[in-house]
Amino acid sequence: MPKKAMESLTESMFYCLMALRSGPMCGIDIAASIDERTKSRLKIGPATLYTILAKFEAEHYIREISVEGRKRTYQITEKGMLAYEEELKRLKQCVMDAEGGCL
Amino acid sequence: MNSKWLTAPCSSYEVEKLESWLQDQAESGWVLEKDGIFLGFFHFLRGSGASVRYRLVPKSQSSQHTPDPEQEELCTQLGWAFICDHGSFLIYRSEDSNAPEMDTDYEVQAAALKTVKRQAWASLFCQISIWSWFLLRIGLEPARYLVTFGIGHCVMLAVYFAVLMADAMRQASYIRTLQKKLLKNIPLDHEADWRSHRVASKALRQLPLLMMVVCISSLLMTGYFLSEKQTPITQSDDPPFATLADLCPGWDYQQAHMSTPYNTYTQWGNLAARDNYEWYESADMTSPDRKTISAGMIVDYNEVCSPAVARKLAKEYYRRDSREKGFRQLEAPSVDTDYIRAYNNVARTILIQKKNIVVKVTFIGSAFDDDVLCEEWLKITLSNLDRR
Repeated sequence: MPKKAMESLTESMFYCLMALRSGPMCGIDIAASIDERTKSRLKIGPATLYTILAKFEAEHYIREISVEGRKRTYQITEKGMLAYEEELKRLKQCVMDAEGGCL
Repeated sequence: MNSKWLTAPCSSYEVEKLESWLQDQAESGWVLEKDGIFLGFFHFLRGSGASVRYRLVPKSQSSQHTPDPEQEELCTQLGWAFICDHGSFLIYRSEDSNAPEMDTDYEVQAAALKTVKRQAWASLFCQISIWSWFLLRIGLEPARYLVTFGIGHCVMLAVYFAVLMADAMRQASYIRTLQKKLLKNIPLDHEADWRSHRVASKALRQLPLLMMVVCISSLLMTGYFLSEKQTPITQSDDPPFATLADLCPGWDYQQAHMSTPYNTYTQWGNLAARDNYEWYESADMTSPDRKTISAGMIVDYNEVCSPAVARKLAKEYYRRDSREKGFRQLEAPSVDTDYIRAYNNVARTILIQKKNIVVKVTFIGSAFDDDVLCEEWLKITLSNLDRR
């Protein structure tokens, strides 16, 4: 049975929050940051990026802090930080489980 | 020929087919012009025939017609150009085969489609609300609409609502299928076969529009058709209310030379009101002792489906007339009716409702300054109504 849309963080969402942890950014900067951090392994499409930003804003994971011309700058909120930390913990557990399994 | 107009072979929400169709057009040398969709017609310009990709991205709000400026800038940087909006989607095109996909996360794409589904239901709700308001409005409007709203209109509107509902359900079901597919990590098929069921789909999509046009025009034409039914009053059977001739039996009756609609009447019946008259009469009448009076009367007679509707109609007649300039309330005669009002706006008017019948009479001419003739008219009319 397919899961419900956006019920947990996807890889793209996780990287968006990761990018915003380093400071307020606009969409273009987020895309660039993800590209740089993943060494172009993860390409995030513009439709995906802006759907994520809209969803995060609605869920109060991020908030818009300024609009300069075409540029909208977003900042991660405490709720967003928590969601990121939780996902990170889950991923670490996955890695630990995998490594433990290998031992 | 360097440009052409086409209608799409599928609905705006059939993302896969529409993308595929646009791509096939581009391959055969026709590219969609920037802002090139007008009232469902797509304007194509002669292109190079190169292979391009089209992608439909759900709008974040139904009122959105262009992407967020920053998003557009990022799209441009990545090789995607915004072309135009269509239904609940924004259309992008890329001629760069190396440009990354617009959507790279299926789960996020599925979530974005949720807004399309919501917009489909909102649009259905909106259309039904507007139509209901319109029907309610004309249902409460006395004059011709309540009494001209026939079974044909009801059937047509019921079919129209059903078609709208079916289309919204089809859209929701189609989007749900796409979402399920995406949530199973299956990408959308950008090369889907848009040729299948093309004619049936096209006809179905045009049906609501056609129904709406037919419905509105038939309602608007109602007045015209009624005017066409005007008949000389000399050809009338005995109407259910008193006429000028009834008021002065035995007098010499001569119709006045007046332009239409005078000395004509219109009679019709329908679902909400089975018998209706619009009666315009003007005559010179001479008594046996050679006394002549010139008089006229305009009668609106409506025999509607129930006393409650009749009361509503009578009140609506009164409400509308009381807004007229120079309106003056008169003392209503004391007679056996369910509702009676007497007033003067253009001329002396009496409005009565008894059971499911409403009669409004406007007396024209100085002969009616005398209460006797008015009371006589009421007496004959009420006695006629009692017999019905």
